[in-house]
Amino acid sequence: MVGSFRAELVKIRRPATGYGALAMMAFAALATVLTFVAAKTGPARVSVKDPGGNIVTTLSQLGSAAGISRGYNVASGLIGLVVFVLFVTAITGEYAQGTMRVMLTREPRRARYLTGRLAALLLLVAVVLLAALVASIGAALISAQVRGVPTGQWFTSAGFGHVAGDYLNSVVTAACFGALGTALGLAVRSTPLALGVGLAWLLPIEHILQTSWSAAPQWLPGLLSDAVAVGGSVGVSYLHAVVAAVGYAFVAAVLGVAVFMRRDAST
Amino acid sequence: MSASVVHTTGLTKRYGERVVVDHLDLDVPAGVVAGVVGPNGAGKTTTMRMLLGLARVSSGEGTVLGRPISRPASYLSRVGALIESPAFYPALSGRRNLAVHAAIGGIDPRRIPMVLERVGLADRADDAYRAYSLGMKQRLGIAAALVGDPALLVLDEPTNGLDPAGIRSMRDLVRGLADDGPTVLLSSHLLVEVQQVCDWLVVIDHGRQSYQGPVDGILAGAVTELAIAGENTSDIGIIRDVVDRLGYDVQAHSTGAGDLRVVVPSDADPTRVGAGINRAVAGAGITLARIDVHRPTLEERYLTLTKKSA
Repeated sequence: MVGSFRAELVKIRRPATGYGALAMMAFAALATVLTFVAAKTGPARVSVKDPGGNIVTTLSQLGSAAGISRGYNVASGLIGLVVFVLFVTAITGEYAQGTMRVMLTREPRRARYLTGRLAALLLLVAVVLLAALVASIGAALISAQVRGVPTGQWFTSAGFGHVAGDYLNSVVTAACFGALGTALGLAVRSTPLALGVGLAWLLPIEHILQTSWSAAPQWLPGLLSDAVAVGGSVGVSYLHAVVAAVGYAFVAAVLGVAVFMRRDAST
Repeated sequence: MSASVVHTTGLTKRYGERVVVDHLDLDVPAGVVAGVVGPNGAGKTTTMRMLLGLARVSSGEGTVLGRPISRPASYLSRVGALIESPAFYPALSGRRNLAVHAAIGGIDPRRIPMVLERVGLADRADDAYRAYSLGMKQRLGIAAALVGDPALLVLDEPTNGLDPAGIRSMRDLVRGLADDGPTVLLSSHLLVEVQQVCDWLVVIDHGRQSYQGPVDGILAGAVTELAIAGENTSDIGIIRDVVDRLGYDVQAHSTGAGDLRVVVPSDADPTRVGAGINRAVAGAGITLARIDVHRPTLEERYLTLTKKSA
């Protein structure tokens, strides 16, 4: 496991990874700026809706302890898809290039190989998310000055608690989507097929089901993982979302490893 | 435990009803370059994939470096492999790709410059893999196989797609590697390559083993013949009578243009037999236009074996 972890780190250490991290940081900063730009005046503890009926962030909410990582929290909603694509292509790309079979002649203990690789990828994601969080906070500080949002409550223990909580939620979300992406990649081995099936399910299908089935957010893995990222959502509590999303991820990981260990390693 | 580097008994691979490798009994001695030959689809690569733990064995058993093939983790650290085709990360340099191999295999990375030098890639080691020619990719594949200082090198069609110069260079490299110590198991469908590089041969066809043993051994049972032609085609009957009287076995069929095929006894020198026949035929007033010694080739024996198997 240590060997495949270190090997993955050797692969990760290249300019493309840095560009990807910069893109994530830029995205988090942009989401934060847009959150501040779109913020309306209103109370801190009551939901405010725009003319379309969507809940919007208020300037008072941004000035609360949770405001420091509000923009990051908004950006987290899309992190799942990015991580899903990353983990799917990390697996299917190995099959397409033929490197999977080569690596398995070096580390034939497949469960260890997979665990080491995924641990390294998850570490990468955690580091990139941390960098994105820092970028988001930087953008929030500048945006707060521009919009006249007070930041006094941000740098309190409550504020840091929100930062830690939001970061942890995004990492858990990433792990869940990573497990789902890995399992799907191992099952179908083809990048276009895995992405086609996975994205079709996570984007249109789950959301269409959501419109006709009110309990969908409590049961569908993509919606549950998204709910974890934002600390719970309408119709699903945070605790329920964490337990169910982690449960899905665990089952996906077990099935993925089982498939990987049983099958011949062909291209 | 077997003294052989690779030893299998009844090794079989099935995909559903289709039998790809059929009860293979391999026995590859230590220190040889063993060639696994057979037509495309004969089961060579599947056999290697089973030995490398990449494909499950349907039935049968065996050992690699004395360890059971059911536990590839117990021996693969001492095996280097180039299987199917070279496969590396396109964006990484040759050196970084080898670093990945070293990291996952727990191999000392200080061996990397040495193996790059060994395969002649030291100058291009820092170029991205995607910029390599096919020959360079094959060489990097060999370097990756060597980086763990293996006791057994498994090379699957290492000259595939190479130009004649590349084939020759790869052949020299493989032969040089074998001289340095490891046993080499090399699959190929190029008999010339096998004849020049290997000293042990396994012939597989339709998943079955047709021959196993020294390369010279495959020719041992084959007969050397003399093709004899008289100055006039009408002389064939007299020549045949003379040869019969000398006690040699004349093949029943003529190969055309008045040729007779005479079997050279296994303990006789074909040149001396030819001279004796020439002398006797001349004594009968006939002039021979041609006496050719026809030694069996590996290709002929291979085709005979694979035809029999089919």
